[in-house]
Amino acid sequence: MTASDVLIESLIDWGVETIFGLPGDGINGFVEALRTHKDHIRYIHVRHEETAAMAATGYAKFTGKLGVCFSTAAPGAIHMLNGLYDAKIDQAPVLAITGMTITI
Amino acid sequence: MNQDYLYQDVAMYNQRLMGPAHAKNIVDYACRTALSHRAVAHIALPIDYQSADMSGEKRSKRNLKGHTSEAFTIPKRVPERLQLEKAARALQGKAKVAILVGAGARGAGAEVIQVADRLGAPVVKSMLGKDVIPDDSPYTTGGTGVVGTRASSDVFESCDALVIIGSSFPYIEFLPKPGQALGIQIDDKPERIGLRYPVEYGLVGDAQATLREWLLYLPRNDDRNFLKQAQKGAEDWWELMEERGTRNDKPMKPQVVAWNLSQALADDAIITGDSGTVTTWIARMKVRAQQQFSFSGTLCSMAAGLPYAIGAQVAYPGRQVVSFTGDGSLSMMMGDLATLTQYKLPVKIVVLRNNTLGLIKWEQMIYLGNPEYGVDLYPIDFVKVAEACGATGVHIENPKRCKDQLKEALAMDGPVVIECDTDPNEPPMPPKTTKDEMKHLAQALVRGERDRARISLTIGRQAMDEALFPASDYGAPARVVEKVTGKDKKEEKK
Repeated sequence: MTASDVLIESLIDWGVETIFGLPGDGINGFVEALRTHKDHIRYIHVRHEETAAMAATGYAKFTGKLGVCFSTAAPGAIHMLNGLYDAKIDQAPVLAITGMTITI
Repeated sequence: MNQDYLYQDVAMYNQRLMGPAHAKNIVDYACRTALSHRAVAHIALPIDYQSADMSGEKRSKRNLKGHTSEAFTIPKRVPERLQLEKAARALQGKAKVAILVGAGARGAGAEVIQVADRLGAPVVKSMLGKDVIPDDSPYTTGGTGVVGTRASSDVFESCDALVIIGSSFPYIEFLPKPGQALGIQIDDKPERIGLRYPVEYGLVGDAQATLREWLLYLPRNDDRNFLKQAQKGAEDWWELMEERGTRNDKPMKPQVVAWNLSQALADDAIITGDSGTVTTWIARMKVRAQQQFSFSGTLCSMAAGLPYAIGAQVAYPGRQVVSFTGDGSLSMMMGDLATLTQYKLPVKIVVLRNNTLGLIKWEQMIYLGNPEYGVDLYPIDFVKVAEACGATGVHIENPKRCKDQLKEALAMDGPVVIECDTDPNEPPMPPKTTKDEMKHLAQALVRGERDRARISLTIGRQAMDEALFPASDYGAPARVVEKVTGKDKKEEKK
């Protein structure tokens, strides 16, 4: 049982069925937990993190449910911002998870 | 990088995982915050903790395992009865009430219609509230703003009361002037009351629950003239849209694609819009009762159409999902066409190809009086792009075949990119063009706009063809006849 397992299982407890994202070495520990829980949470692998955040926003707007997206550290997290601002300004409930490398 | 610093402005809840024992707590609070406030929550997940083993976790006495919960109910606030009564009384005797609905009124369509009927009030829809009530409802004049309808502009110009339901529509130059109308606003965020209009009454609550309660106190307005006038305006508007949507000019008019698409869509289709001139065309598309529509409304980001469609199709695998986008937007996020094939998402992408960043071209001219510059787009072959990504590509350029081709493409299995070649010189006209806008356009043409000949021709033709349409900018003759005789000039002609 890892911290990522706890995170994923908590999301599943919240009724999260789908997560949009793009893996990377800053988030691979979390992606492993997605793999081991793939029967309970659907991972949609997109080609750009902005798409992940926008898709989560669209999902939230059309369902009223929580949209969830993830990215790797730095560039991935920066790419997600535009989609997240869309969610913020149009008031869509979205959770973003970003991997973070240890800084000095 | 300190992503929790980076996300400080965008996220309402923004935390870095402080250790494995923090994992459950952080998710519970993040989800609850996002859902309670319809906001963004962010969890930064340090790499060292992602794979941390939980078996030997050490906990402090204030972080007992299992002390948080995922229990949650969406808060549905209703204003106090006294507030509802006061706001209802204020409408007594008001015979020109207008209603503005936004995304906050989604799901409350039945109640909005009851209120509209009680007050004899036309409903104007912000674009994010486009699917609150269908366009065939006799109570709506359609959209507002620069992409809106003339009927809605008329309603806001002449109303003496305004009821805002779940909208923070930002283009206030289209709203009644401050002081013109008695203002009542329903919003579940108290801080948004009075944001865009100096309302006298703020009813803080969920739209549906509040409207249900309010209906107990609302007086009936028996003077139906204002509503009837609005209905006539809406009828005139849709006649004009039909005229513009059924033209056979070449290059094909963008309105032809939107008009035909609206008729070809499934009754429960989900439509995602995008930002650009395409916003104008889709804003003026009729939406039906079971259809849903959204787009990047307030942020107005380009390239949201495809990702929104991915989100929608994943959520509703059995429904028709259609994205209405432009060549500029689609080329920004084109890589994710492959996501459609990777997950067998049968999204249909209607892409208008006019080889220009059209909205910017018109904004340069109409708002600044400058000739277009820096807006050309190399003509991408989207059919080939679709095929390269494993999807189907369809090309449409003949307006006479547009409807049949759209129907065929929508019926195809799997993802389809429907490339529609459209006229780059068709102006996305506001519901009423101002003198300043026309002056700027003339300036831009005189100052060397490259397409001045075609633009002048397009506008000249429109002026001739639309003289009999009261909803057109060029329909002044028709409007005069209507005013004097109360009759439609077209009817007389028949």
